[in-house]
Amino acid sequence: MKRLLQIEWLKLKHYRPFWVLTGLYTVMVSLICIGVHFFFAYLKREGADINGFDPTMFPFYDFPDIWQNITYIATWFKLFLAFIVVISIANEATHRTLRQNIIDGMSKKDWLASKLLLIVALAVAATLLLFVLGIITGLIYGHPESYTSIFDSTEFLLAYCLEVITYLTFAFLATLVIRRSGIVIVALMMYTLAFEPLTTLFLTNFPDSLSSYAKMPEILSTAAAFFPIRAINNLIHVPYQRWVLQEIQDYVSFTEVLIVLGWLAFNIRACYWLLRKRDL
Amino acid sequence: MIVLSTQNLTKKYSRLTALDQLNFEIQTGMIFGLLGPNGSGKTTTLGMILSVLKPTSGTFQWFEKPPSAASRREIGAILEIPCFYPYMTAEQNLQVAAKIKKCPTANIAPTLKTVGLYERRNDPFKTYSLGMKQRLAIGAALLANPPVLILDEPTNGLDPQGIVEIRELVIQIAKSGKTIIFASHLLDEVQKVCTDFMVLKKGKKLFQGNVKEALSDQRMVEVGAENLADLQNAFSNYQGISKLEIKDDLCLLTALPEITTNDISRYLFDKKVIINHLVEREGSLEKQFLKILAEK
Repeated sequence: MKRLLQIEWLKLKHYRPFWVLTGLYTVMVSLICIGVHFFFAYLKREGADINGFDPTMFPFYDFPDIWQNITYIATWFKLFLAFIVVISIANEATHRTLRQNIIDGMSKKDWLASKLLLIVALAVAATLLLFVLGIITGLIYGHPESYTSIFDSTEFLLAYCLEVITYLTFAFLATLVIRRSGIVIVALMMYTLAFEPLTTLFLTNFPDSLSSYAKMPEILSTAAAFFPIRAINNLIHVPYQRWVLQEIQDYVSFTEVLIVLGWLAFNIRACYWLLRKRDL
Repeated sequence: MIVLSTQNLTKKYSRLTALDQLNFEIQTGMIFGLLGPNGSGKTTTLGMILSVLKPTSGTFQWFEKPPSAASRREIGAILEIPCFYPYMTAEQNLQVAAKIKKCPTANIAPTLKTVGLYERRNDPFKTYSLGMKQRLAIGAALLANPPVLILDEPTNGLDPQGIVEIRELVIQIAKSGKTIIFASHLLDEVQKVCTDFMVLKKGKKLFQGNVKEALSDQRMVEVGAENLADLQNAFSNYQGISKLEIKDDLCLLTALPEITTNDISRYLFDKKVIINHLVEREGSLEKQFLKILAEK
């Protein structure tokens, strides 16, 4: 396993786009996590008030809520990490180095494992980054009375890790199917940011328009929860309505984890099946 | 020991049968030439025995065992074009190869010297000429010092000097007891280095045999004399030849294998025919190859 990870590291460490994308992810996530504080301060200076609240009063940085707050933000930036996976795998296909790796003595299973290890490493690194950001910003901007519950709700970090791993295996599969990195990146963005959210939005909100059968609307709106991106994003629910005193899901649901694990298993199986079936 | 054997190896692409029921065996120490016109199935064969193409049917064994990643680590191979990470240098690329082959990185510097790339080891692969890329591919194949080498058109893209260098390298490697599988359409090349060869055409095996044996029935002896008619007459009842032709004022004899030029000279001396030309011509693989292709 160490050898497989070393092979991946040797391939990536001299590759500039890898560092650019890693850097972009780190900078964006950090800037936004820290920036929320300045954004609220800016809103206050502009005299905004939301339902009679001064924006800086929002407990964004208070433990343990901070974990759900920042992991939810980071959900939007996992695309950068997916691009690393897409480029790495599409490169191996276009430069035919996948084929050369097999000739040189890797098994297809080893090759798959090395890419999955890369995915796990990226997810763990991203989770650690959030953990460190959470601790630092929480201690600086959070209310001191919340310090007693620093490590409560850290399951959101684990959920984020699972979310990234599953999304990156989805990107892996998409790349094996489509092969051209440019097309995969555009397709992945369109699907993740537009196509699937719109479809699931439609299914959950207007199921009646699609069928006149009595039972169908219910089935359609339930089916929406099983779409891959929706399932992955559902792990961490939007937390911010709680500031306007709405009820939110402030835990990680077991059922939703199961659906994601199902997708994870499917993605890996499908990647392996494609690799085994194909001529390289 | 049998290094490689195949049983009914077949590859079909929808309608086209790229390789049809191929059976062959390669023994330790052979330098095995794989010959055939373009599209005859050479690279398809190599792709399958290297596990990058999936056989439609048929099986093969390396070292008398079912193929595995471990058996591929005992083989150094180049297949078609050199494939490396373009943004990495020769040295970095070989580091990846060394990790995959589980061989020490200490092999890298000497290998780069062997293929003449040591000076350029820190330049990215994408800046290399085709010849340099080909050398690096050969270097990667040699890196782990494997007992078996597979070289698919190894002199492609090399300049004349490079071709000679690679040919000498192959002969030198062969002398160390390694088994080499060598695909080429340069027959001259194969004749110079190979011990055995196989001819493919449209996915079918036309011939497999030893290079020396295949060429022996091609041996010709040229004899010339001032009086060609006397010479021809002298040969008319000579038992040692199977065929006689006249070409450019010379008699071309197809002599029996045991007959030497010495025997011919002595026979003509006894017949009191004075000759001014006696040369033994080795057969060429090219002729043999064209003959095999034409026969079937």
